[in-house]
Amino acid sequence: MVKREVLVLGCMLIISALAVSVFAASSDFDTATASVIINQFISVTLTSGSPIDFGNMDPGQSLKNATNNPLNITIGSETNVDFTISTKANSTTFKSGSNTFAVGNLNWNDDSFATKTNYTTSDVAVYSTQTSPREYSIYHELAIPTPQKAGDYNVGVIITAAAV
Amino acid sequence: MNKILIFFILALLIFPFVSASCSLGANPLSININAKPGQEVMINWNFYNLYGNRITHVVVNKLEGPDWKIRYDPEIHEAKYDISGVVEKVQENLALENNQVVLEIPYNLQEGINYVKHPNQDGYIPVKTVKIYITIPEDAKLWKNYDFVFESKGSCFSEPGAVIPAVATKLKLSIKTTTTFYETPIANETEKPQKSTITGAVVGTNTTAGILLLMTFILVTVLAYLLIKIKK
Repeated sequence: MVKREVLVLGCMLIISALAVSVFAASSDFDTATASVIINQFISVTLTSGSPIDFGNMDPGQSLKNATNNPLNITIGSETNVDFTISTKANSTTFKSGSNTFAVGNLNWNDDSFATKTNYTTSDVAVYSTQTSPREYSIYHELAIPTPQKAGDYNVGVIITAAAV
Repeated sequence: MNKILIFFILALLIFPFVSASCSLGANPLSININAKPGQEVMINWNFYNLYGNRITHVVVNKLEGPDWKIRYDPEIHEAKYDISGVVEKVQENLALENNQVVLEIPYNLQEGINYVKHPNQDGYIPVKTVKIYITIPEDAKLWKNYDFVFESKGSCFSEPGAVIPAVATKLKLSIKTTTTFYETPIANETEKPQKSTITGAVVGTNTTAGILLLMTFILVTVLAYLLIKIKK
């Protein structure tokens, strides 16, 4: 009887040793980072009011609205970024041959008419941090300095839609 | 006094026969990449014209960024177009005809046109690509971000000699200079050798496994001895 008990005790000790060796005292966790880049899209379309036309004006004439105001801009529905619409001139002057006058005589307004801003050759935000694509309007006014020689004057305007 | 009449027309237009819409779309709009000094990287900038009724003539240029060597493919070049019977010239990297979204990518691909998945509807947008190649100088500082801004400007004709105000968008590019990764321990003379400790039973180290095997062997030996004693 005593020998059987000793045998059982010995088996239990062996089984216990094997069982303890199977289970780890602690668990290790590792972390990994998952990342993805969502493709970005934006489109800008001039839908009406383009090109910007002031018709006939006189030297010294004060601010006159473009005859085909406003310039309408549509941001495409596939646009999936927050964006800003800005405008700038591609030159510091209106030109007719060798005759020029400053592009700062050209102003723009957004559809709130809250602020009248002179054109420069740097991008200036007209509509900042927009979140949904839709149609936008920009209104233009022009004044003519005096004296100013007669001619067909022009300057390029660039409407930029860029992700914020 | 004769009244001096002054004609001011923005963007060279007089009277369009048809209302003209000029459109430019782009993808992607920002890119972050890693590159080694001396390496040349290539960026694909895609353009599309889904909404315009004129060909959009696209010119790409750098607005901001260091004066590294940059080239474009296609390069900017002078192209000629027949505008209602009058031949006009324009500078462009590429020209975008109006194209619509397609539900499936065509089997026979048109030369120069790729397709990208529409972001919020079924189908694919036909695009044309300007590749921008940038060479990182050999002496560029490592582990530094170099930021660029590229502008794409799209212009359209409305009648011979007349150009509609241009549309534009931007690409922000950040290049981080890197090198081949390596890790080398630096010996600390004041550091004392750590004692290895075993808490509970941590499986996985050679020392721990060896001790457990020894213990098991001892127990098996004891059991065998006991069995032998029992038989006697």
